[in-house]
Amino acid sequence: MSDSSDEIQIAHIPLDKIDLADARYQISGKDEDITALALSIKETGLTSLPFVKVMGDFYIVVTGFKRLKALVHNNYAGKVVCQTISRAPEVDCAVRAVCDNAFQRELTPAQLIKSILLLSQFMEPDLMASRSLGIFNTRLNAVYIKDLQAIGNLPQQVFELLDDNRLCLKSARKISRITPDLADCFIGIFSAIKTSSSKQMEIIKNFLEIAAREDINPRDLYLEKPIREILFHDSKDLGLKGNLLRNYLMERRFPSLSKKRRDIRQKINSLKLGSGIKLTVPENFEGTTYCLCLDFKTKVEFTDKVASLNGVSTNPVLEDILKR
Amino acid sequence: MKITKLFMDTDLPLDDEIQYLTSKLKLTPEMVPDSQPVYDSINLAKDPISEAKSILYITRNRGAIIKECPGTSHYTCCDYTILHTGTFCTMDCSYCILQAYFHPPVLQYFAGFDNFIPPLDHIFSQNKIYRVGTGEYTDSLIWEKISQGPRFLVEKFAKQSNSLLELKTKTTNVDSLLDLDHNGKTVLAWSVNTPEIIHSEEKGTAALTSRLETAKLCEAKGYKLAFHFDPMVIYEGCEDAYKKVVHSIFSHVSPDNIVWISIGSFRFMPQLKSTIEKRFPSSTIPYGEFILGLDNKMRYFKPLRIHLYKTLIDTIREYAPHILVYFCMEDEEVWEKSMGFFPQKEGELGHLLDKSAAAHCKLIY
Repeated sequence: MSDSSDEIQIAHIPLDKIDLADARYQISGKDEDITALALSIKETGLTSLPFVKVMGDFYIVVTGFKRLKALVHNNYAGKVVCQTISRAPEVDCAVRAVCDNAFQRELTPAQLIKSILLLSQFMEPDLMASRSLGIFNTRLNAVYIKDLQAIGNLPQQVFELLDDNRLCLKSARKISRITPDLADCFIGIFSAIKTSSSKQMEIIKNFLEIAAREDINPRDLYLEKPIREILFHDSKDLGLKGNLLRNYLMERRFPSLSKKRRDIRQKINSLKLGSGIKLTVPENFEGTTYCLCLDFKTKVEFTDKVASLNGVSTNPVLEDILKR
Repeated sequence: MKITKLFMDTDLPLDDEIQYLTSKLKLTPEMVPDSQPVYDSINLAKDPISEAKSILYITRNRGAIIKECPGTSHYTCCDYTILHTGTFCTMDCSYCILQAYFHPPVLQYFAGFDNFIPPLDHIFSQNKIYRVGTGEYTDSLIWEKISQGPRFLVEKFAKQSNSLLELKTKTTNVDSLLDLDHNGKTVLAWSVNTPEIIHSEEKGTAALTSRLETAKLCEAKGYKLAFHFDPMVIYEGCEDAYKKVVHSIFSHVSPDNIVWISIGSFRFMPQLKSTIEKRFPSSTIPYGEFILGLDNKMRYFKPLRIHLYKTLIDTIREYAPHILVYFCMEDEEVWEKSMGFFPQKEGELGHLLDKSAAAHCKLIY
C-alpha cells in the first residue's frame, strides 16, 4: 500500500452523500442479514469507522458496507464519522477492503473469491501470493489464486452454493475447468442437493465418466428423466436427493459391480444370519477372503449363534455367495 | 515419434555402435556430463511425456543389466528375466504404464554391447532355463532400424543352449534380424490388440495386419513366435473383436511355432488415469468398470475379466488346443474359472513356460 496514511482524514459525512449502490469494493454478501448489526449500532453506535473515498461530490464505500446499510436500516439520516481519503489509488482501496474483512474473520469461500477478483484488477497472482499474508491474513499460493480466479468467472449462483456449503472449492474448481454449459448443469445439480465435498467430487466424476463411457453429451445426460426426477423430487431433504443421485450415478457408472453387490446383499439377507452376525464379502469381489463377524456376551449366546451358523453352512445360498 | 534431439554421455566412446546410431539418426549429439541436462530439457516442456519421446539419451546402464520381473503382490507372475537395454518408448500408447512409471520418463538407449556380455555369459553358464526379455521398460525393437543391438543379442543367444531371448514389440522392425543365424533361441513376440484399440489407443504402432504379416515373415525365417494379448480392453463388441484377432493370428502363422500366448487385461496405477485424461482426452479407456486390486492397481471388475478371458481362451483352444496360454498377473480364482487350472506351487507357471521354451527352442541345461 502506498504511503497515504498522512492523507487519511476523519470526516463527518452526511449519509445521503455516500453512494451505497457503488459496490466495487464490497467483499461481504449484498443480501447478508444486518438486523443484529443494526440493533448493535442503535445500542452503542459505530465502534469501527467505515472508510470512504471521495468521488466527485459523493463518496464511495471502501469498507463498512454493512455498517452503513445498518444505519439506513435504522432510518438514520444524519452525518456519519468516516475515515476518508481523496487521492487513494484504487489498488490501495482494494487492499484495504480485503484486509478489513480478512482480519476480522476468516473469509468465506465466496468472499475469498470476490477478494481475489477485486485484487486481480491490480496485481498478478504471483504478486498477490507474495503479499497474501498481509492482505488475507493467510498464505495463498499463485496456483490456488489462479484456481479461485477461474471459479470467480462462474455464474453468481456458485458463490451462493459455496457459502451455503453445498459446493466445496474443490468441486467448484473442477466445474470451472469444464465448458460453461456443462458448468451450468453442475450448478443445477448442486443447487438441488446437499452432500459432502468428497461425494460432490464423486458425483462430478461419475457424471462425466458415464457420458464418456456411453458416448453421450453430458448435457443430454443432465436432461435425462431419471436425473430430473431426482433433482426435482418433491422432498425438501436435499441430503436425501444427494444420496439418490449419488446412488443412481454409481449404479450406472459401475453396472456390473452394482448388480453383483445387490445380488450378494439379497443372498446374504436370505441367509437370515440373525442379529450380531455379519458376513462381509471381499472388497469389490477382488480377493477371495470372506469375513464373518459374530457378537456375543455370554457362552449361551455364543453357543446359540454357532448353532445358527451351522444351519447356515448347509444352505445352498451360502455356496452361491462363495461361488460369486 | 521422430527423434529431434540427441544427448550423449561425455564418457562414452565414439565406437562403431554409437557412430552407426548417430549416423542413422542424422543428429549430432549434445555431450552431457550426466543426466541432469536431459531431465531439465524434458521437465521444462509443457508436456514432458511427449517431449521425452522426441529426445534420445545415449548413456550406459549404471544399474543392474539383468533383473527379475518385479511382478506384483497377490497375483501370479511368470518369473521372467529382464535384460535392461533401455527405457521408455517412441510410440505413444494411451495406456502405457511407462508414462507414470518414470519421473520423468526418459528415452534412454543403453550403449555398450560389451556390458551385456558378462551378465549374459553368467546366465548362460547356469543349470537352469532362462526366459529373457528386453520388452519390460521399452519396446524391444524400436531402435532396430538405427541400432545393431537386436542383432547383437540374437547372435549372442544363438551361441548358447539354456536361454531364450524374447523380443517383444508393436513394430514391424525386423529387417536386420531376418537373415541371422538365430539358432532358434530368439522368440519374436508381438503385443496384439483389436484393430479398434490399436487405432484409438496405440498411436504410432504398426497395424495388426502389419504385425501379423511380419510375424509370418519371421516364422518363414525359422523364428519361433509369441503373442501377448495385453492389455485387453473391455468395450462393447470386444469379445467378437478379440475372437477375430485370434483368427487373424492363426490365419497368418502356425500354432506349432507359437511358444506361448499371454493374456492380461488393462490394469494401471491410479495415478496413470489423470495422465491419460490429460494426454489422450478422447480416450475412454480409463472409464471401464475398474476396481482397486489387491496390489493397489486399478483392474477390471473380476467377473468381467473372467468372462473376456474365457471367450479368448476358448477361441484360442479351437485353433490350437495344446498351445501354452498363461495369464500375466492374475490370481487363483481367475486361473481356475477361465483356464480350468491354477499353477499353485511357487514357480510352477515359470516351469510351464520353461517347458514350452525348452520344447520349442530346443533348450537344454
